[in-house]
Amino acid sequence: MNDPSAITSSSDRVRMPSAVTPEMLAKLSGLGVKARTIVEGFVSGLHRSPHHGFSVEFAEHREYSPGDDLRYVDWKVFAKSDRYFLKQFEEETNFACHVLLDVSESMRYQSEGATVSKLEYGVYLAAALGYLILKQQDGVGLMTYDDALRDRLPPSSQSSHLEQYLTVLERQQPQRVISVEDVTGHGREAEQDNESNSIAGVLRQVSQHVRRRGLVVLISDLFDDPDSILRGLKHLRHQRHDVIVLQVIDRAEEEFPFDDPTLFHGLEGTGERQLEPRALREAYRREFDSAQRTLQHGVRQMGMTCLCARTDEPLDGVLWRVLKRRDNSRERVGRG
Amino acid sequence: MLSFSILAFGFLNPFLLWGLLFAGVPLLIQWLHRRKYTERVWAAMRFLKAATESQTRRLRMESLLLLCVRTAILLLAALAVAQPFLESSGLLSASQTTTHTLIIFDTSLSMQTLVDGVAIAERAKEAVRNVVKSGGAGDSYQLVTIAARPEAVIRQPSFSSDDVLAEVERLATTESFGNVPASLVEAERLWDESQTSGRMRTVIVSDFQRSNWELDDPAARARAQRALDRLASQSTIEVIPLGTGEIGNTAVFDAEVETGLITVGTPLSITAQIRNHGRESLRQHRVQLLENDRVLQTETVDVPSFGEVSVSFVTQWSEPGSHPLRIQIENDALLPDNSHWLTVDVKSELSVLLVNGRPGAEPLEGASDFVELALRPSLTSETDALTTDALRRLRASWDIQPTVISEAELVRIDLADYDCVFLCDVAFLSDDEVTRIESFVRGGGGLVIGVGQQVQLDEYTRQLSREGEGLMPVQWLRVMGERDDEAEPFHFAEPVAGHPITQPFVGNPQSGLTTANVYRYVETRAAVDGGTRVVLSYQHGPPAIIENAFGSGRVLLVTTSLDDRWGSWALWPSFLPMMHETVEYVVAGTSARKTIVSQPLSIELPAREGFGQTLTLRQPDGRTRPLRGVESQDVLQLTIDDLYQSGVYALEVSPDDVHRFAVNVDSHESDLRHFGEAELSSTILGSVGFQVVGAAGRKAVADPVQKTTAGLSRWLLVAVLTLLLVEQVMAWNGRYGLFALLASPIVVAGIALLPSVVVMLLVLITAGCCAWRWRLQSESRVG
Repeated sequence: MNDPSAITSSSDRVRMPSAVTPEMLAKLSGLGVKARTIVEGFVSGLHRSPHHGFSVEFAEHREYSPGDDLRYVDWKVFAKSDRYFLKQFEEETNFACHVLLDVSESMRYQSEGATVSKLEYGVYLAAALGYLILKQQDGVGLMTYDDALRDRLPPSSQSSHLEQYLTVLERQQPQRVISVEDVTGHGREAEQDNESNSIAGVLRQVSQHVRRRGLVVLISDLFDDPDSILRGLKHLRHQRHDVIVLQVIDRAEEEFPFDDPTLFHGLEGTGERQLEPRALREAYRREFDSAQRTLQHGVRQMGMTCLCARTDEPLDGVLWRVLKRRDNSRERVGRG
Repeated sequence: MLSFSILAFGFLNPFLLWGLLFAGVPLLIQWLHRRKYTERVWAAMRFLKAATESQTRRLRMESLLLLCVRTAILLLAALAVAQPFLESSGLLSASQTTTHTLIIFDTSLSMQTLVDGVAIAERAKEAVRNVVKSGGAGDSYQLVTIAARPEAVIRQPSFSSDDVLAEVERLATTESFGNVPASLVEAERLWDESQTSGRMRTVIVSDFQRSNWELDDPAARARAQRALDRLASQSTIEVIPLGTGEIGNTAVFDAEVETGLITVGTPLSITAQIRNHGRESLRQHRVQLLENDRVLQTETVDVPSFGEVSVSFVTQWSEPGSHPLRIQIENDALLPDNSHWLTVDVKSELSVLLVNGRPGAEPLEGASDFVELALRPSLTSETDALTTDALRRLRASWDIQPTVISEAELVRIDLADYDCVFLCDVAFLSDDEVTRIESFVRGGGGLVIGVGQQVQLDEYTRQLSREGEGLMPVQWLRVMGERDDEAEPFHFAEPVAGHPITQPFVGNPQSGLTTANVYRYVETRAAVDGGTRVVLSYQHGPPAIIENAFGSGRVLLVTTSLDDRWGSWALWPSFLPMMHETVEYVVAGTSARKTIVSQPLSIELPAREGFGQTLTLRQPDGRTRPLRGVESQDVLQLTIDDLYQSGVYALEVSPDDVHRFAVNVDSHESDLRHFGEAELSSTILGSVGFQVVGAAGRKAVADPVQKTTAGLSRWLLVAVLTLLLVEQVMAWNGRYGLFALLASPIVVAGIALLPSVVVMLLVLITAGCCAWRWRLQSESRVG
């Protein structure tokens, strides 16, 4: 790790990073600038962080001496030997992070009140992650998918890789907000829900491509069938990948705030429905929450990290939550 | 007819049922609402579909329920406005609703009949008091009278029983007949104005006198029936008949002065007609003639059962002026018709103006000379041939003061100073003269037109006929006959009995009327609908004397000359009495100045200089009031339409100029026969359901048929209010709305029993809920 002090601290104190909002980012040009802004905002607000970065792994024990951080005391050893030992970590030398970004049509949704679409938000997150990891001189790769894998950028830790990484991401950014006309155009096929083009199939493909154990960050709205998602994640888990599921949703998708009678045109060929949103709001929210609970429960059952980000949330905050959750999970591993 | 109605349903305002069409509005809005929607793309379609599938049935049910509730609100509101009523056998208890009572109270003359010393009207008041006192809180009342001119005593519904009782106490009977059709029409109008709801009933309090309730006139009966049917369709009809048994009654139903013109010292014959309306004959019944409560003469008569007799009085006055007279019989059950009033105007002398159209150089050569001589004769042997009666009149007419003027002076003379004008062979009249003469006659003056060789027929036709509207609506066609003693003369035909002028000559060929020679006359043709009457004809048919009534005066046209130029009539004995009869007749005028209570009386007085348009009317009870007339063409026209008292009224033009007229009760009211309870079905009441109620206010027949609107209208409105509340809840949350709908019957019952203030509060809360929901929706849209 070239500059671990920038993101690593042993302090107990936790402070929220300064807010880097999507509105702010939208005003900036160039994805690189945006990624740096997110990371710098994140770093500046993170003077003392409880985690140790992405690329640290347990190495050995050493005896405790006064002044050491008690959090790293290995209590199991103490129980066996009645002596205090601290867990020592070492930097990984061949750490690779695979960012898997959902670029399907549903990710292009952007409600009236939102500044960016889910896809844009995901791109920002992916860019920030890539920037941060490469800044630690670790390897980061990128894969995009919709109903199948599309772009695939193998991981690399070279600083020149950032430009390639960002270029691929730049390509994913939509030129404009998806409209009703885009959806009601001719030649749209009905929804198909077979294994080959579902998220399960995609994740199986990913697991086939990423043989080496690493960190997989899945950025998606996860509006597929939860069982299908979990089935796909199992493929990654079998490969012993460390998986972070980062769900990006629009606030409107969660709250369903509409009142007037509306004809909803489903994205990805999911048909259309004319409804009274007011009458259906409660049931919708119930269905949405149920799906969320099922998904999060399933993901956590597999020992993975699952986070939900709304497109109106500050991105550095999301990044902070990702690192914090990863830090916690690693602690659990260390104690285990 | 006693009515035992089965359960029946109807509407007071059925035409408002078109409001039911509004029930389609929610459907229309729903349909339009479905056509109007926003389009948006949506990513989380999975959840939407899942939510839809799980909720479709419930949502559809809630939507349908909401639609039904909204439709029901409008339906019930429309029904409530149409005011449904239910005739039921006590299904809706009267105690639960207020009652609106329309009281139709008979104040006609017969209600003054004394039964056991108490007037029927007082018993009627007691019955009405019982009706009002038996009412409850919230009950309302209207009151209309049965009289010649029905009066809405309580026009707007009164909710104060004290006020109603006070009005009943103040009710006074009239001396008029009971105009049942007009009263029922007025009652119907009051219903329309009442705008009340609740149990409706009409209470008719009357003696049901036959003469008032038989309604022989088909048009009047139809009008009354229509109004009664309408009342019956809106309310229950209750009657309180107050006529009891057979009550005898005697009345002076008419009295006439035999002589038209009365002068000082002239014996005057007054004839009164007495009618017995009872089963018992009256023996030695006293009849008196009174002037200002002073008995002038007393006669006794026997009056047979249901028969009538005449009683004559002969009297005379030594002082000129207007004398109020009264014919009075003995008291019986009904007092006002025991008196009959009349007035007699006694003149000191008659002023006659003779307009001489052809002055003569020698005596009896002028056109008016013979008339002047006839009106102011000196008794000679010629008059011995006259009958005693005619002589008596002749002597009395010595007070006639003729004044002769030339044709040229007519324009300057004040005609108001004269009682009668003779136009003797006047060539023609100027328009101004015609106008003045017309005013004079219209005001009660007399005009006699005598023709002659100078008369310009075309001018007379134009000026006096005036297309049937003039003083003498006839066409002066041509002069017939020759002035030649050797020519065959014309003769007057035998006079027909009945006319005052010719009456003395009927059956008296020696009077010199039919034997008089007439050589020339003017042929005339009466105008169509001119209203003229031929008094005397020539033997070959054409009219010799024509009469026309004009305003309050009379005009006579003699189609031959009033001198000896066109015949020998002026030289014959009949000429003198004929002229006197003529003057007497035309001066008497056509205005009888006598009417009956409640009938309007029109009076025309000649307008004089300094005449104000406001006169004073002194009523029989001594009270005075100003009376305003309308001046038109030198005549002051007065119409008095509020004569509610019998007696003699005095119209005071000035202290020296007082015109009196008599007002008498309607003789129809004297027949006290009435419809008993069992006979009421034969009246117009027979076609509607009605209940007979005892005078004590208790129903004589137990028939709890009720007609109520408040029960239904109020409940419907309460249901509307409740459904509005339910709709609010249902629109907010379908499940809670369903609970509210299920609970609504309890809410309806609760609200219906709550005081109005609480209901108003609930209305405000409902309005508040609506506003709050609307605001929330607005805010969510803005958000």
